[in-house]
Amino acid sequence: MYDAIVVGSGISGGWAAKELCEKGLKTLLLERGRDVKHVQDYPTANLDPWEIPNRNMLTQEDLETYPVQSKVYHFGQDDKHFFVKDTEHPYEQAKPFWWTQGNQVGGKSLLWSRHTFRFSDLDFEANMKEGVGIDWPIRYKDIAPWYDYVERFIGVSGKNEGLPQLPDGQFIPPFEMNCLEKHLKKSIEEKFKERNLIQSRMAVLTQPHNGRGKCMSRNLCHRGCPYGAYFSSNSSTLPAAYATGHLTLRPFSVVQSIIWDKEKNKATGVRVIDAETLETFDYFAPIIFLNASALATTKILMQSTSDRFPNGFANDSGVLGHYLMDHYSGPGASAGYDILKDQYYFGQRSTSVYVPRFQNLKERDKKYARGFAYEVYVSRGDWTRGYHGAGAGADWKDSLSEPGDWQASMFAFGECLPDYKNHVSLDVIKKDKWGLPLLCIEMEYGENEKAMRDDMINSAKEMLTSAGPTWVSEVTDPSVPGMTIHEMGTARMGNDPKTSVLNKFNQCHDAPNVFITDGACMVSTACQNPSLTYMALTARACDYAVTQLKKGEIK
Amino acid sequence: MNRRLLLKEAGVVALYSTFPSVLIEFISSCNTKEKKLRAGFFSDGEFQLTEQLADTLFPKTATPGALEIQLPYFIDLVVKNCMSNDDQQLIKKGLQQLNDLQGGKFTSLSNEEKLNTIKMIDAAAYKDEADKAWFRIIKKLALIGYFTSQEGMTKALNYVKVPGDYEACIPYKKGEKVLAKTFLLYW
Repeated sequence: MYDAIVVGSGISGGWAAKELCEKGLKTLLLERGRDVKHVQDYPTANLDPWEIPNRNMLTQEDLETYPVQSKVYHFGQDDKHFFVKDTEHPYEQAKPFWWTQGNQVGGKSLLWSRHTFRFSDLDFEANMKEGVGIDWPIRYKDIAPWYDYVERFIGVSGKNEGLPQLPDGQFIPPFEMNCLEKHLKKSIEEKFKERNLIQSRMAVLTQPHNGRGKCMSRNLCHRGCPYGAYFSSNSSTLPAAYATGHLTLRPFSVVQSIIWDKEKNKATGVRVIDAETLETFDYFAPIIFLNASALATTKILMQSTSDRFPNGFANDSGVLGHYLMDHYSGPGASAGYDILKDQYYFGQRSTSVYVPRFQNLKERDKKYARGFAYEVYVSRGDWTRGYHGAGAGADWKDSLSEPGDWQASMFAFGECLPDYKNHVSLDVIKKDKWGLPLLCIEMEYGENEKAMRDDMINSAKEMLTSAGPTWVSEVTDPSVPGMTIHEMGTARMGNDPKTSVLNKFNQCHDAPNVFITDGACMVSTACQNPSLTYMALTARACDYAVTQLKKGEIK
Repeated sequence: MNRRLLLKEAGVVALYSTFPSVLIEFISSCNTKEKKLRAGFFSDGEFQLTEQLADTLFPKTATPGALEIQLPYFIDLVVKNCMSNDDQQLIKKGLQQLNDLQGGKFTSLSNEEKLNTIKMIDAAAYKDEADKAWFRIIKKLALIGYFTSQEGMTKALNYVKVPGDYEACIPYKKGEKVLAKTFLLYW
């Protein structure tokens, strides 16, 4: 018997485990994949490039084994061990949806892009003001102290800017901008009112923090960091949970369902299939946190049917599985600059700079609702320019040994509105190797997301143009649902149990001892990267759950 | 400064690869410069053309040339391991085209003639002439192979395994080498 069960050890599950353990609860952490121990299970972390098989290029067999996972921009020989084999983890795409899955201890916290931005009341109030979806049951003031709490623990490098749409936080010093970034900042902020170029706030350490080392400027985060310089469950929350002596980790644990006890009229535990032996085990605890990742959590709820919940666990509302969202991302522009040739940088910063949302801030001034922000990447060209143009022989070869012109690329991340039609369901016929039904995903972007696309491209072009480039080119690839890996919704929060699965403390309306604090809980997406919000909601929900447990409100 | 020392200085326990021994064999055999390595995809004739092509693109200058760093072997290897069947055939046909272009004499041309021939194909390839598409593929593989090799990275680029503190703005003098990126993306 445990005091709490947490399902999933990724970015939010790690937080649930840490918080519950630190509050004295004997906690069982279930992870469907293998264990990944910090540093010792990062086999490629210190390899030189020439030691990587095929210099990190994918083989035809890789493409057949990982047709979906290999679409992730950094998927390669150096990190493919942190992704599932699609051949072993199939799902159905009713419409194209790229579902990135990192089933191991730490989950996708090993692979995330580390951007940590707060949501603001502009985001929390938008649904209510526009009559879109349902209202968030919380406001910024409810989550702000938890943003503080999480940022202090994880270490976020960044700078307070006083922007209402991107609230300030508890930051350690930012990474300095390089010379072209400074030039771009000056141009953009002089020429465009209400637009800013700022250092991205990122869970990458510029100084030692909570026993973790600072960034060594290798830009190899995705292989796992031997210094613990970026936040992951493995480097940060799980060691904290272990330190309490209250954590039991059980890897290879595929959760089949939540156990509903008819007599007690409550959820009493979870049923687990051992991923390797296929044996079934039941585990019991008074509190259950689901943090399996947005879609995997909803899949577990859908698999957990009973007389009480014939349509999926805690689904009296009927909205379970619906309102799937993912940021519309990618469009923007790139430019080259024939200036600052006598300026360079040293080291490879793993962080970007950022143009926070500047559309529809005070009133609706665009044809679309909400807005988008840009991640901006700036560097001097390297030898890869060799395959973008003609050249051969000694002079060409030697020229590639020197840095090229400065280049800047802006990629937009746009808000995605909730839509009932975008949903997941279970395929009742096809089963995976654990005998579980496959998840079927059906999502497409709506008119509002598509309406942002031209502006994403044009605004990027005009900002890059303002800084005096020699060339500018559009980045036009349309976003594919799932591609941004910011999948959100399908078990949303809300004040009304008739239209939502979770209340304002991420507690199931229909099962008060079951909490969901991963991306499934999200009511809207804003345009900011969502992981920080999952972490803050998790810490807040853990505090509430344990308080209720101690008061006897949860038994 | 060698790798182990760097890691020690950074206060990190060295991690060792769990990669297949075939790769280790490749790495260690790269150091034996006399032995010409083959991956077995190209025929003798195709391999010879690949050698000439690679050496023309990357001749020995102040930094090592293609043949010193076994670049033809790398191209042979990744065409075999990583290319689709269609691209493999495209490259084979392309090498045949290169051979035929000079009446089967490409390999016996002078270095200058070879360079002129390659530059002609290269210019056509970057004008998107369909029958020269193969050249852009093989040139990209040659670039990757050269600049991610140990010799290429450490001699033709400024490879710093553990940079340490990031310096955002520092003076650059013409002639200094570009920092070698280790995040291996080939877009």
